[in-house]
Amino acid sequence: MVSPVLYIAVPLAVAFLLPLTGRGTSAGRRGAGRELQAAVLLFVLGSSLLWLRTFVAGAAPVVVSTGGWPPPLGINLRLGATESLLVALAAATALGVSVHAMLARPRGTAEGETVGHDRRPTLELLMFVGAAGLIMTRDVFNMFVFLEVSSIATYALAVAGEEGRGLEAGFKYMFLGAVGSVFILVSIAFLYRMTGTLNLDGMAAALSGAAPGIVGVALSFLLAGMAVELKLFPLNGPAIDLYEGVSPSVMALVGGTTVNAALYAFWKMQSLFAAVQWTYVIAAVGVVGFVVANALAVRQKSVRRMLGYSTSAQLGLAVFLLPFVATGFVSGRAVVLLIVNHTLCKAGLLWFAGAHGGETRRDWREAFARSPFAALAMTALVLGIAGLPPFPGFWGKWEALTALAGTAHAWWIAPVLAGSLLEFVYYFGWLRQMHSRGAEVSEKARADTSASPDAPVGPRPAFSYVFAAASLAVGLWFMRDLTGPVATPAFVLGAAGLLLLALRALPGRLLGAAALVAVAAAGWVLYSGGHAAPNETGGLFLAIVLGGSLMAAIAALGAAPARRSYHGLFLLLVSSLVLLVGSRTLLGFFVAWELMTWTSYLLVAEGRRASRGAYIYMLFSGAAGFLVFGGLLLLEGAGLTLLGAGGMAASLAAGTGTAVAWAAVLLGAGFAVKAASAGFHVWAPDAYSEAPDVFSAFLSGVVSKMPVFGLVLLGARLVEGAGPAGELLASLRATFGGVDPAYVLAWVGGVTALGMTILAALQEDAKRLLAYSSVGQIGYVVVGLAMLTPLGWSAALYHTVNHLLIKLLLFLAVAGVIHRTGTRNMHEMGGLIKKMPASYISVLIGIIALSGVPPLSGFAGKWLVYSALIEKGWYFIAGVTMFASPVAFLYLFRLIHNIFLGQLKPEHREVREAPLALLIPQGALVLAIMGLSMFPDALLKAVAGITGPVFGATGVSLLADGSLSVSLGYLNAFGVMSMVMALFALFFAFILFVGPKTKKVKQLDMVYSAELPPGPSEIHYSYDFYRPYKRAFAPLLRVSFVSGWGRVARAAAAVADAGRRFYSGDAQVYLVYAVAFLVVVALVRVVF
Amino acid sequence: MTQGTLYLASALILILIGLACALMRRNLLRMVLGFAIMDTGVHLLIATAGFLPGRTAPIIDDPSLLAGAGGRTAAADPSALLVAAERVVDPVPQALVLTAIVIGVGVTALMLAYVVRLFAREGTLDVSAFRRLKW
Repeated sequence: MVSPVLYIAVPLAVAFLLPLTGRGTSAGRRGAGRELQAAVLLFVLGSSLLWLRTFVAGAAPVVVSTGGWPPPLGINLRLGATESLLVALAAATALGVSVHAMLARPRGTAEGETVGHDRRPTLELLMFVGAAGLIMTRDVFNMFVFLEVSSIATYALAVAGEEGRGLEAGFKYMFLGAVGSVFILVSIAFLYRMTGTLNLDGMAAALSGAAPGIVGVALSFLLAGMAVELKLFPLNGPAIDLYEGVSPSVMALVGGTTVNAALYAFWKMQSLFAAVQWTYVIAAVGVVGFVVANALAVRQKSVRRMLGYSTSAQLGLAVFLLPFVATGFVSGRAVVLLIVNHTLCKAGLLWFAGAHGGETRRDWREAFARSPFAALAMTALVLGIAGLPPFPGFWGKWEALTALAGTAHAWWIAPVLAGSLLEFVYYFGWLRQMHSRGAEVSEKARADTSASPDAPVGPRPAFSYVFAAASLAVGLWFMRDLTGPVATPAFVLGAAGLLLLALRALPGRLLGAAALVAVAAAGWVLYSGGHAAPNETGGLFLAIVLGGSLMAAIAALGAAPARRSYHGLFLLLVSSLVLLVGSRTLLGFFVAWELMTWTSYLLVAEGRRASRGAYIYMLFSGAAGFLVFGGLLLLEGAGLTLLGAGGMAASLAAGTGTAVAWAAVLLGAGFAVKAASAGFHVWAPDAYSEAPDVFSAFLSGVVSKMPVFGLVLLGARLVEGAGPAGELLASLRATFGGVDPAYVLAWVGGVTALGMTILAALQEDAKRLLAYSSVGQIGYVVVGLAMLTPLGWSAALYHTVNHLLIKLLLFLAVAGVIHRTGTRNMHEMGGLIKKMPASYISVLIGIIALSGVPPLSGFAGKWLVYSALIEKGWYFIAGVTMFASPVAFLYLFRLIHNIFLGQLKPEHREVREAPLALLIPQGALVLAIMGLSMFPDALLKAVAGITGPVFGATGVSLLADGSLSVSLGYLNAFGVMSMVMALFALFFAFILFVGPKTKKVKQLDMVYSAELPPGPSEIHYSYDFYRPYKRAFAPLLRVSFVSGWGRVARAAAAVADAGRRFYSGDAQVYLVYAVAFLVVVALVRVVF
Repeated sequence: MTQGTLYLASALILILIGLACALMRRNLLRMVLGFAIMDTGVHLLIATAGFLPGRTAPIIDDPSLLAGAGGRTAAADPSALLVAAERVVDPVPQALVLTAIVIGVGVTALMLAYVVRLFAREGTLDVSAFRRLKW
């Protein structure tokens, strides 16, 4: 093993040798400077990774005393696991910069030619040396020296580029940085005076006995100085200017070397701060920085500045955690993971930013449209930096926040989650521009952009791919903790998905077939190989997931989405859903939940005009995710679980359940948002309608069932052991001043059921209609679950499966129609019954089943819901849901009438039946609905397996003849079905053989008197079909949630815009902030 | 007022003068100058940190005390060396100050180089001219 001293000595020596290699080279011939630099960095990277391996294996950290003097006389360097990892990260980033510079050469860029020879390799190595020294040294003054080495290299590198604005940014950055160093020096002088040593460990030991006042002032100086170096809010102004002014490649290097090293130095200094209890001050500085910097980035249009704010925020998060690490609440591994994540993802994104060259977010429209792998890597990096699994940042956040959740510091979690959501807003806003493609971008907008998607301005960001892969690999390594009965098949499925993404050059049909085979194989393995779900609930939902996936995979062969990443992403989504329903730990549940969130988001974004819908979907799903996260953290902190019996109920019964009650409310709210309940439904219409047609079916049929799964788990934990009187629920009510959260949820569900049904009736777009319908139907399920009675649950779970079958069927049938006609507007269709009879039958069966009239399966579902509501005594909600039922007829009628009946449009005369691949799943679903209609008891038997253990009763008795019996009556579905079928057969025979003959009238019998027909509003009766109803509901419709949320977004944006004025751009104003920061911190320490 | 307090006070006053200059003068050169004054104050502060009243500079030049090569090995008479050490101030801050001065000079020089190039580009030294990057 090489000595750690060499990590400083060798690059330093080479740095000063490099100018020699460049001398005397004529134009056109270059020196070997870059190669030498890369070789040195490769040496450091390799050997530090070897060191890391030995440390991870359990070796003790190496301590080297320079010059043979032990501390406190000499300076000692320490190399442990964290140090070697950070050195490796710094070397890797610098290597990336070096390699990119080499790749850029053949393009003939004027690299360094204007300044005689290229100084950049030297400066970059110096920056690395400073960082490596700062990471390893244990001497306070030595830290200052290395910090200065690294900083001066940064200042010099800022002007080594060609851009004029780098000069201004560099000066401001240097000016504040120099004052920050002065602050640090002042504090070192004081600290040395008080402790008599410069060694970090000795100093910390001596500090605990020192006079608090002077220590407070000295540490205030240290904190202010380090806040400048770490670019924390409010001292991040010049750093953000630097991001805008200097090439992104330099900023990637700064992030990987100087910034990380300064952060680690601050980490080491925590022992000083901890000696005098500074936990809250530092945590507050960190968390405020995290939230504010993220909030200010929301409206930042310049991509580079946005990345600057993000860096500031990420460092704030790490700084927030450091005092808790020092006091033993949080493990250091969590912070290391966050650092690794941020370094890799931010450097990767910065290199992409440099390669693409788009200044503002709008310039990124259609970015990488022709290079799918770049788009993929870029997406992965954004997912990583947003802290989504499986990237390392997710594991870091989970580990840190769960550790805090069980302590008195739990309330710090709220701002961290809020800040994380803000991060989603701007990162996915950026990605949204990239996803907007083709039809969405007008010619004018295209002319406005400064960057062309096909001609990258910078070198190819080879290391962006490397870093994306590295961060994915590190993250995936943590997935191995998620063992469980379904984990292995799910992982194989996920791996198949990644493989399909990699093989996207293959023909779409081949990819689709491979996806179908993978889904079928996974289903077979899960059912035959004994990989059963951990419990009955999981079993039912696993069946839902696998059945729905199989249907969607077959259908995807017929109406293949335009983009070929669809199939790989679909497998990833299915894999996450399998993981979700089979999860055994809260961590496993949440990992799968977030995987589901982003995979489904990317699938929605595959639609042709879906960038906006997908973005809104991601924001609401992200918010739902953070609510769920908060609830799970509270549970994890209390040592409870959601996934098995016991825990929550016992805790509530013991009267110690305030945290549990809040966990229940957060989880319930999160699931309700994800289920698009009224008020939060605004994401659903756009996402459902703009997603690829086949995927809409899956989204509505299967993905929308996952919040239902969550609610079932939550309800089961709240009810089990409560007894018939439900004392536990009483104690839950008591926490919220007598308000029963379940009753609130029931009303939310009822309002959703009615409101969405009304809105569905007023749509012109068939998919939007189905979207509102889907959300409304989930409303019924929510009502059923919120009752927390066995009958209510039976109704809800029955309806869940029923809705899965019906919505898959309807969405697939409509997908076929859209595939053939090329439009989603119902008033542009009509008379298709002759052309697409099979699709017509699917829709007919679907709407009969959905409307809840006998004899099809919907009737049993509605009957169970109403019975349960009446049994429960919630008559008002029963009234609301009953009123929603006839309203549903209105939209269901439109679906069949506007599309299939009436007159055929001339342009549709050549339309054929939907592709076979779409009809096969429809046929299967029709059969399944028929089966369920005749034998609802078969499903209810499975449902009883869930309700029985939870309630001790099932609420529905299954009689010997297959009838269902509840407290209010009984239903013999088979008898009803047989009777109606017989009547139908008679009636049909009558029409066919006895009734009058029909006379066929061709459409062109009718003419427009030689006039050109005006728009659809004038002549087409199926346009704005329910205008009278629209007028009747007008007061209700004026309460537009869409514009309400829009107003919230605009207000937040205005605040963020105003907040950014804080950074006036004036070097002296920035200095005032630094002094004010110092004074405030010192006052806080002296006064409190 | 003891000697030590006097040094401390002058160091702090120098720092404040420098800070005021850097904060209030709109001329880039004066801002750099302000930084240099502040830096000097800090150097004095560090030197003060090792100051002990009535002692001399930490230089031991008596050859008899430094028998070992370069002082690395034990002196001929360790106790005499200890006595000599009792007569000098703390040497560590003096070493620090040397380093800090070198770094300070480097930073000041680089800042001035920036100022030269900014002036060459914009033809002015007014800091208000350099506010194009903001928000």
